[in-house]
Amino acid sequence: MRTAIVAFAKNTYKEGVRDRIFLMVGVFGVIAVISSFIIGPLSLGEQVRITQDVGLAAISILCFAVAVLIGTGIVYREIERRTIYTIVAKPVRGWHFILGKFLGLNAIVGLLVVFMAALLLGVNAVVTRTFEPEILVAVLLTWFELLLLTSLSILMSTICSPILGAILTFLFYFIGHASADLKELATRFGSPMIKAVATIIYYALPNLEYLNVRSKVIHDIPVSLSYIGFAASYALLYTIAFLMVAVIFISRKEYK
Amino acid sequence: MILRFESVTKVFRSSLTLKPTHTIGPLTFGIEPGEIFGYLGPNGAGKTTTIKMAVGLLKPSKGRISCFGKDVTCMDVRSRIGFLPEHPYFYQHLTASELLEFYGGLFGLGFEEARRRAVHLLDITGLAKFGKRRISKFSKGMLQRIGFAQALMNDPDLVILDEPLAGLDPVGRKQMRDLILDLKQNGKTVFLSSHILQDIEMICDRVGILWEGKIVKIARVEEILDQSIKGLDICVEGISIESAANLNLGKVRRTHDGIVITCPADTDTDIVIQRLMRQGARIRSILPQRQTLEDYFMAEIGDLRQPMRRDPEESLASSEVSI
Repeated sequence: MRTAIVAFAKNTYKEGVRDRIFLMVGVFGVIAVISSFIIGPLSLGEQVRITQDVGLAAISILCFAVAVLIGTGIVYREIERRTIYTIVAKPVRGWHFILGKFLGLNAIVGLLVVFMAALLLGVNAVVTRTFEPEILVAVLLTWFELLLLTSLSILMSTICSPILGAILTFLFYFIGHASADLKELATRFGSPMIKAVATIIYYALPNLEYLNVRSKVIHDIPVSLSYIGFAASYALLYTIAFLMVAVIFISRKEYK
Repeated sequence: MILRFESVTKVFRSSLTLKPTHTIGPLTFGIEPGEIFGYLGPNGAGKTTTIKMAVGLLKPSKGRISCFGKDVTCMDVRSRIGFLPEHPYFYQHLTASELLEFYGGLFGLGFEEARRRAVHLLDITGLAKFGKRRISKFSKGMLQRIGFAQALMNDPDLVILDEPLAGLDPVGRKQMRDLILDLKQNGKTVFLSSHILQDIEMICDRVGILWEGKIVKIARVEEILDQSIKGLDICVEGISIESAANLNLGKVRRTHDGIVITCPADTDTDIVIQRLMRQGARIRSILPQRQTLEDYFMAEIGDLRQPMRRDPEESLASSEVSI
């Protein structure tokens, strides 16, 4: 069981790091973090904040892009190319496959997060001439958000094409970051229909803003350990739920 | 029985209306330990569907498939089966060694054991030189061989091969046949589908013939092949085709070897030879003609096709009579 999960994870990791998307996003990430260092001086005394803000946003957006671009095709391609035929015939269960894929994809995303976070810490140290490990709190919660989003990408890849999956995951990402605003907006309109839809969206989809502490970190507002625990558990619960649905879909699939 | 199909039926339905579009089965047959069982049928007969049900890619709509006495979906059953799908496709980003090690991991093999088996299988499939080559650079024949190697990573007791000889050149087919025969010699059971009848005839112990989703015949190959001599092919040279035809010995045709006269099986060869020699012919060879699996298959399929070819009015009339 363990070796099968490791085999899937290793294979997914190898496929991802040998993919041009990974290299392109990695290069783009380096450019984004370094550019924050260059544009910082133009911001009239806000260089530190600009560096941290651009750097943290780059980690979140670029790693999300990798999760979506690789994740939404991760199972679909196996079915389309029929590589899954030789896998289903082996003594492996659907959850071995999905969990292995999830771990492999997160190893790729995690590698990128660690690399960009190290770069950001370095650039920040040059700008502030101090080491600010508080940035890592924002990075940590971004990583939990990415866990949730990779599990959603994998779920999408078991039920629809990569393009549709990517569109839906992007929509989910934007709604997830704006769900509180949507609910607030709906109350202002006063229409019961709009209000009901906004309330359903608010409660059904995860509020990804819980995992966004970037502005707090940038403005030196402390983030409590209990909040980190709550946000991490919140992300993990959704992650597990998405993976379980993906397992149900893959286990019921037939290959004509 | 190692693998047993009991009244297995698969109904395919339209995804919109859910009405049945076509049905395979009911299939009832079994595969004996240590045999090579050939599953024959024209394209679309249901060979691949049967195999997909046997390895869990499709679920039967009715019936039961058991393997080693257990349901075929059991994990410990799957760990004793090796499977090569039709037109196999593998991860393009992996090298041949990495691919086999990956499959070894799926069988729960440790890294060292998986590597040791990968080296051995690359060797016996003739791919030892290509272990570090990416799968994306593999030819069709090499893909078939690496597919065969992955099917053996777990040292299976039952090997299921879907069209293992399709698309291979004559040398590749010979190598694949030899590999399959080696499996039998090592005590393995092989269930393979094919429409290359000559190859099936050479390697299979028993065959099942599938036609439009139903098994129409299961028999040992030697039972199917009529061992009695159907005729004699006498190859001669030194006379013209017209002279040979004028002797009225049988059907005459020209080949690369000379003129071949096909005589009836009960021909007195001494008399025929004397008559030919009197005309100045030199006898090059006399070969008995036996029924091939292809002859049998075409005759069986031909019989089954007859009702389809009938005039629609005639069919209607016959159904009215039967009512």
